[in-house]
Order: sequence, then C-alpha cells, then structure tokens
Amino acid sequence: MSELRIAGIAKWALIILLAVILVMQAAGNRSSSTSFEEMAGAVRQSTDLSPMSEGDNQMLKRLYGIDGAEYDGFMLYYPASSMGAEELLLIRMKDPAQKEAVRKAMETRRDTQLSNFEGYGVEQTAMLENSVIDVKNNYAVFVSAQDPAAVQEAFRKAY
Amino acid sequence: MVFSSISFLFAFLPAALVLYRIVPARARTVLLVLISLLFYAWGDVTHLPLLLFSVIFTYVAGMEIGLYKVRRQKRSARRALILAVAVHVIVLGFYKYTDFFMQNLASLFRREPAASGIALPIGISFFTFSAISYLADIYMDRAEPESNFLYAAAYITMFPKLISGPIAQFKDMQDQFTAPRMTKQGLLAGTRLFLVGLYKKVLLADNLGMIYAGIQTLDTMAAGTAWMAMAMYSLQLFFDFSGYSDMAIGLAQMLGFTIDRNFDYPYVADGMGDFWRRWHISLGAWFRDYVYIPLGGNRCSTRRQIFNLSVVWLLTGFWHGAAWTFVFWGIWHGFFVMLERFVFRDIRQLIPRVLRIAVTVLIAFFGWVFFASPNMGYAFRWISRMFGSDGLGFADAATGYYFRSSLVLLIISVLCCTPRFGRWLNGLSWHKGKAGAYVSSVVYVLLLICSIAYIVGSSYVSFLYFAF
Repeated sequence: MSELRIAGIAKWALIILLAVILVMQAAGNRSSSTSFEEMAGAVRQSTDLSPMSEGDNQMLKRLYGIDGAEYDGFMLYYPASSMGAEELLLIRMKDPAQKEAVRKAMETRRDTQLSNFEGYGVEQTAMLENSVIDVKNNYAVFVSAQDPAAVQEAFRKAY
Repeated sequence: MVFSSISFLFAFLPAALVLYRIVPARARTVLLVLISLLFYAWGDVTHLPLLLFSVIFTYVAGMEIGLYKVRRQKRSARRALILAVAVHVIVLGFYKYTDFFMQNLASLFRREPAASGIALPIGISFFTFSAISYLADIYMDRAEPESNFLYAAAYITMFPKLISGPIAQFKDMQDQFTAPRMTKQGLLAGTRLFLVGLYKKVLLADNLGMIYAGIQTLDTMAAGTAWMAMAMYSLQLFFDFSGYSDMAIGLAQMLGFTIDRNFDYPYVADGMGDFWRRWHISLGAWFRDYVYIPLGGNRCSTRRQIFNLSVVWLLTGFWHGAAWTFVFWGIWHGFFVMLERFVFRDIRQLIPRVLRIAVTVLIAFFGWVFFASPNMGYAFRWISRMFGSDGLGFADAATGYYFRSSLVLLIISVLCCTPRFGRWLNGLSWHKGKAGAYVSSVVYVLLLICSIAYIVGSSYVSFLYFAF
C-alpha cells in the first residue's frame, strides 16, 4: 500500500473518530430548554411538601452559601421543624460553569445536616443518606424526602 | 497552569529547565512534547485528547499534502488542504461558537436560548491556528512536511506558546526543532524577558485590573470615572497580554528557540496600520499570510482590497470571542485601518506625530470598551457615561478616590508603554560594560523579588478580604 493511501485512510479514520467524539460531547452536554416554571411544577408535584417551608434568597444564602441572584432561578423548601430532614432545592444555572459550585454547595449542605442528626436522629440520618443530588448541564436538584427517587424521575423527565 | 503562578515558577519551570538541559540532545524533543502535554493537562486534562487529536490529524494531513505536492498533483493537494483546514475550523467552531449561534438562532425564532454546555478547551484558538499554519506552509512550499512526528508535535504543543501564543508560524520554527540553539546567552536573555513579562503581568496588569474591577462595581459613575475605567482596562489588557507574550518568548528562548516579539509598544503607534504592526504581531501576520494574501492582498483593485480587508477584520474580531462585541470591535478596527489607507493616506503625514499618536490611542481605547463589555448595550451605556449620562458631572468623590489611589501606578504604566524604560534597561545590559551589567542584574533581581512578593501577597490579601 502506498504512503499516500495510508495517509488518506488514517486521515479519514481520524475524521470519523472526531465526528463521534463531537456528537457524543454535544449529546452529553445537552442543556434543557424546559422553562424554570415547568421544571419547578414537575418537581413540586412529585413529592409531599407539607413538612417543608418555602425559602427565599436569604435562606438559600444561609443554608447553601450561594446567591440566588447569580442563577436563572431557584426553588427552595427547607425543613419546617428543627427535627425535620426533608429538603428540596432546584436550581437553574445561567452558565454550565456554575455546575461545580452548585454541586459542592448541595453536598456541603447534606453533610452538614448528616452531622447534625448523627447519633440521635436515626430516621433523619437514613433519609439524608438516601437523598439525591442530580446535577445536569443547566439544572440541579437536591432532594431529601421519603421518596427521593420519584423527585429525581420527575426531574429527569422534565429535563 | 499560568506562568505567573507559584507552582509554575517554583516547581514546573525549574524542573522542566533542569530536565531539558541534562537529557541528551536527541531526547530533548520528546521531553519537550511530554512536558508540554503535562503543562496542558495540568490546566485542562479533559481536553488533552482533543489536543492529541489535533496533533496527529495535522501530522497525517500534512504528510498527505506533502505527498501530493511531490507527485505534482496540485488539485489533490489543494483539496486535502481545504478538507484539513475545514476540520480544524469545524472543531474550533464547535467548541467556541456553538453557544453564540444557538443564542442568535433562538433570539431569531423568539425561543428561549439554551446553553450547549460545551466547555471551551484552553488554548484551542492558538493551537488550531498553529496547526493551520503547519498545513498551509506545506501547501505553499514554505516548509517541508515533517517526517519526524515529534517535531510536528513539538511545534503545535510547545508549552511556552500553547495556551496564549504567540502564534509562531511553522516556516519560522521548523529548522529550530532539528537543532535548538541552547546557549548561556539565550538562557540569560530568555530569563530577562521572562522577568520583564512577569513584572508587566503581576505588578502592572493585575493592579490595573483590580482598580478597573473596583470601578465596574459602581452603580453610577461620573464621566471622569468612566474615562478612567477605559484607560485602566486598556492598559491592563496591554500589560497582561504583552507580559504573557514576553514570558512565552523568554521561555522559548531558555529552551533554545527563537520566537519573534508579539508586541512593540502599540500605544505609541501613529496610525491604526502602525498599531496593528505593533499589537499582537503574530496574529496580524497569521491573517496576512494565510487569509489576506491568498485572497489577493493589495495587488488588486481598491474594491477588492476593501473586501479582503473586511474579511480579515471580521475574522479577527470573531477569532477573539464568540460575541457581537468582538465582531463590532473587529469592524471598528477594520474601518479605521481602511479609512487611513484609502482616505487619509496622503494627508496624514501633515498632522503632527503627537496628534496622530493621540488619535490612534483614542481609537484603540474606544475599541477596548467593546472588547471588555459583555454585550453591546453595556458598551454603549459605558460610552454614554463617559459623556455624563449618569448626571454626576465630570468628577465626583469616586473619581477623586480612584485617581489618587492609582496615580503612581498610572504614571509607571504610561512610562512603560513607551520604549524608553526597555531601552534603558537593555542599554545597561549590552553597552555599559561591567557596571551597567551589574546595575541591570540588580534591576532584574528586584523585578523578580517584587513580582514574587506580590504573587504571594495577593493571595494573602484576597484571603483577608474574605473576612469582610
């Protein structure tokens, strides 16, 4: 086989490989075009919010250390009583670069709650251990509830 | 990893230099490639495969173009070049411009814009242009296709220029890979240039940037403050980028490579054409050699020249970023370059040089307002503030505060925009014998100590700031 033919084959093989990489990257990084209201509605309907109170930006800053003004939208429900561990946070990011900060804030909050209940709140600890953090390209959800899987499913369907 | 970080200055650079100097000459290229890949992975490991793809693909495509040239199959060589360049442009477009096109399409169809979430690989604009230079130089018979894969890989990945240029052209680099000229003089000259760059970046650009960022937090500003913001950003950008370029060229020199300077005191240019012969010289040369001249350059009708220049300036703007502000900035510069060339060519020499420099600086500075702004509305609001739209007059308390706190920095910055300081320092090194060399050594050591102290101190200050 001539050098030219080998170079041609290698070139096309590389182009095909590149196309596969780009398509996979584009598919994997897809952002949701679902509006925040739609997403919030879907998530809200998937769980019982009665043991929780709705939180504002001040509460978001206090519990998670992040400023809601820097995001496209957020919905926060926090435990209504000091013995509650039910919690729900939905955030829509302005920029995918915010993903890691949001994930870290959610993990820190969960760890803080776990350490608060550790040793005496068996049910609360179990609930927090089963909690779900799901961070997509432009949406993230943290849910600690009786059935976090239902919230995650609703979140993924709406995404 | 940035050149001005502690980890680079005290770990990566000394280790790389020592290793590079002690390994046998025949192993230097492979070491350079490995060091460069490590340097890239340190900052952006997820896109390392993309960089490797770019290198392998460029090498293979270059070989194919070269083989067609040997067989005198010009049309096939041209087709191979177009395809290879198209692949590089598509990859660049995918990573850099997808969001821009999606947002514009969404607003066109009145849909909510969605972010693609595709992260921009570090240095993609620079290594893509290096790869295109490799291919085009082979096609234009300016260079031979590399038979040694390592030389091609070293050209594209070479860590001093990998992230932010300069975009050294392959034809100027090829011979250097076979026998890098490693001399004591080169090491010293490279070190000196690196220190000057470090000083520009750390002591000037970062401080100017801090003042600029402070001004940007003001809800309202007097006209003078808005003008000051423009000046601060313009100076910051120059010292930041030219500092980085100096460091890159200095590093290359330490490794035995010569890369032409990328900045030549652009703020003393006496026209926009002159400005672009002094600002980001390697980018201007790239567009001239690979876009402007192939389009016909200036050996054609005036109408065609205007078209060629428009293409070049539109691309120059778009290359800098995926936003309308960058496109406008490109058009802005292109407009004044063409105005100077086609309308004022004969009469501009009648204007005193000082006035020409002042007008050039003003045009360039206004251009940076668009360059710095996140969107067109912001840029126009900024300009309107420069003419008092906030109703606070020319100066208020904030203007006085920022002026007083930045006066010394401004004076030093303006002095460093002129060639005097550099000439004085170089003059000491080369022409004043031993005494001059000692003084110059002291100056460079002082620059190093001040820069390091500032790098360490700045993290300390930012840590203190958290407490507030």
